[in-house]
Amino acid sequence: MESNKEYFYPLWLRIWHWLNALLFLLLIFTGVNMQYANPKSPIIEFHTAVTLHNVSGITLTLNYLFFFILNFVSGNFKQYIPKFKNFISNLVLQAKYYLNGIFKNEDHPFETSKDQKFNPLQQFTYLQIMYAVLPIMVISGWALLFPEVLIKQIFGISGLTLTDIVHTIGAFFLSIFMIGHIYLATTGNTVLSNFKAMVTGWHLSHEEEAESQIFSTEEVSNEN
Amino acid sequence: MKKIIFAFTSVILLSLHLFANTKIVDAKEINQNCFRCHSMATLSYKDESTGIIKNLAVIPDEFYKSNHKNLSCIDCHSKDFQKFPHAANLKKENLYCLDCHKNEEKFKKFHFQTIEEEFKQSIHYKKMGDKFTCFDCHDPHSFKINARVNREIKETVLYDNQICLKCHDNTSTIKNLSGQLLPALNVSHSWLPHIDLHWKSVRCIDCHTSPNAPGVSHLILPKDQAVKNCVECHSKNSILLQSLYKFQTKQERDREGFINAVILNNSYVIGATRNYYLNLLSFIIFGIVLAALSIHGILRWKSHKGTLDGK
Ligand code: HEC
Ligand code: HEC
Ligand code: HEC
Ligand code: HEC
Ligand code: HEC
Ligand code: HEC
Ligand code: HEC
Repeated sequence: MESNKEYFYPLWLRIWHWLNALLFLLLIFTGVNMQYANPKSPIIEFHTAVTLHNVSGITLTLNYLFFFILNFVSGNFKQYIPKFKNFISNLVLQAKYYLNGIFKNEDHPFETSKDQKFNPLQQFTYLQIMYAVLPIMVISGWALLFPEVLIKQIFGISGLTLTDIVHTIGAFFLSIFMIGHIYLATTGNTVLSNFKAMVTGWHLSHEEEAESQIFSTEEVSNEN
Repeated sequence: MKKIIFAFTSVILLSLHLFANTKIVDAKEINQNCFRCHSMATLSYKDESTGIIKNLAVIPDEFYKSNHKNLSCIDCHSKDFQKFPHAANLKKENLYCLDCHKNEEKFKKFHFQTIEEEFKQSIHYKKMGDKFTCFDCHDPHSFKINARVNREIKETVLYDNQICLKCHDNTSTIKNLSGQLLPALNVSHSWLPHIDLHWKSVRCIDCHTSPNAPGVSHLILPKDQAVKNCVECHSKNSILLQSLYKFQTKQERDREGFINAVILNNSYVIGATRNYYLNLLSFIIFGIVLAALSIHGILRWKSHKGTLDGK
């Protein structure tokens, strides 16, 4: 039984993850409330939404820096770097699984391990979310906190407007990501096992024979 | 009878039109005479009765950019001013915007009469009476309309706010007029976040007047009736569409089909800046994602049912 469990997620990562999740929810909720502000049925007052959004955004920035540094120091960032070898075909393989194999109760095409926590699709998405979209959101968000630093006009459109549009589009993608992320988290061993792992840090491997696979992927990653 | 009057006025209008150019030249010559003295920035005297220093300077550059640029000084002022020293009785001369602007067809679109009524109900007039006039906000020698004609909203905002700030940024003017001090604007508006951004993007009168005016609203309300609720601007039916963006939305609606184009190009008012097509697109994408995930989930649940039950 012990051998089936592996310590995947160190404490710092779990703290970061759940704080991040909470802030995402707050930011999306308050953000949508501002973008679609309705005087007749305010779920939350505009002024409150703005304040809450700003506080959450600042906290998210700190949390992101925390993640960025520890992810680097701990070496965890390597998880995010996709393997060039068979990059496309691996993506296709994983996508095929979600579209077909999963209904036939097939095994996940890429067994996860301590050194390979993400499947290729996750790797591809997380890399973009964590190292492209989120930084863009943080930077544009801070620019909106201090609009006077923005360039006044870019091609006849106000710099503030452009920043707002970038921020809104980024937020849209993050909302979509979040829904997909939560849903795919239910595709673990059982519906809740991935959530449990993110709380306890201990990941439950799929089957007994998974061990051999873990071994082989370890070898692969050692080659790099 | 009517016909005769009509013919008569036509002739007058026509001749006015024909001579318009020579008239302007004449006007400039007369003005030149007055500007010899009145363009001096320091020309002023101290009013003995009130002790206030009255500035008599008229800046030619500003005058020739103003709404009254085509007029000569003595179109408004008495011809007797051409003599110097000016006769003492000329001091009593009392000019008023409505004297000239009351019934003319040409000025109808400005709704002078409504403006006057609104002004009489405004908090300024109620508190200070005849001490406060149109000229406190509109210098007849430099005033030019802005919101109606200027497509740069930020410029309009700057111009219009300058009108109010002339007094409200200047404690001594306020004290002279009302005998008391008002709190600094940054203090009385500290509830407003991004205060500098708002000062540049939105006018004092957008919050401080009732927006239901045919022209530019002049009904400055008591402070407790000012707009404080953010969503009055930051929502789909933003009051700004009836005030600040009023003259632009009409044009843009004809040209580009939907209202928000105007705001989009000039400023981003969260809550109000919405593009119908982008909104629709995002709702559709969102819907598809949700639907796809639900279907996926149901299929998974069906195919896994046996296994899950077993566990
Ligand atoms: C030689 C210089 C000079 C010229 C030329 C001159 N003014 Fe004046 N004007 C003054 C001075 C000095 C005063 C202030 C003392 C006074 O009221 O006589 C004054 C005062 C005035 C006032 C203010 C009266 C008041 O106290 O309210 C008006 C209006 C005015 N002038 C209009 C004109 C017009 C219009 C012209 C041209 C047709 C003109 N002036 C030409 C020197 C001049
Ligand atoms: C559209 C009409 C109009 C024209 C044109 C005009 N004025 Fe005036 N002027 C006024 C009015 C109205 C006042 C009174 C303002 C007030 O009561 O504050 C005034 C006041 C003045 C004063 C008194 C000081 C002041 O500002 O109150 C001076 C001096 C003066 N005008 C000079 C001139 C000169 C010189 C010209 C020509 C370049 C000129 N005006 C053109 C309407 C006009
Ligand atoms: C003595 C007469 C007189 C007084 C007083 C006067 N105006 Fe005028 N105003 C005119 C005339 C005449 C014109 C037309 C000028 C032209 O066609 O170029 C005009 C034009 C205007 C215009 C329209 C310009 C346009 O582009 O159509 C506005 C707005 C205006 N005045 C506002 C005011 C205001 C506000 C006041 C008071 C502060 C005022 N006027 C005082 C005579 C006056
Ligand atoms: C408290 C300041 C204030 C007072 C007092 C005031 N106005 Fe105005 N008025 C404004 C401002 C601000 C605007 C907007 C200017 C713009 O953007 O064109 C304006 C605009 C106007 C316009 C142009 C409207 C249009 O539709 O383009 C007219 C005409 C006018 N005022 C006439 C008057 C008259 C007449 C009086 C006196 C009865 C008066 N104003 C008193 C502040 C004032
Ligand atoms: C000529 C100077 C002057 C100008 C220009 C002026 N104000 Fe005022 N305003 C005053 C004074 C003086 C008071 C104080 C009146 C009092 O309390 O006795 C005042 C009071 C106010 C108040 C407070 C009313 C209350 O309920 O106590 C508001 C709001 C206001 N002004 C708005 C404006 C706006 C908006 C503009 C520009 C369109 C403007 N003012 C232009 C002099 C001015
Ligand atoms: C976003 C809306 C908004 C804008 C823009 C705005 N105000 Fe106000 N203003 C208010 C409200 C609301 C109050 C009442 C505040 C309170 O009672 O706490 C107020 C209060 C005031 C007072 C009364 C202060 C006192 O306590 O006696 C003055 C004067 C005033 N505003 C002038 C201005 C001027 C001048 C500008 C333009 C530079 C301006 N306001 C722009 C909303 C606004
Ligand atoms: C009179 C209308 C008006 C009112 C009332 C108003 N705002 Fe604004 N606000 C604007 C406008 C216009 C802008 C757009 C700035 C730009 O893009 O130039 C803006 C911009 C903002 C921004 C920056 C938005 C961005 O583009 O990122 C924030 C935040 C904001 N407002 C918050 C508030 C809050 C909170 C309140 C209520 C306390 C409020 N506003 C009340 C008109 C208003």
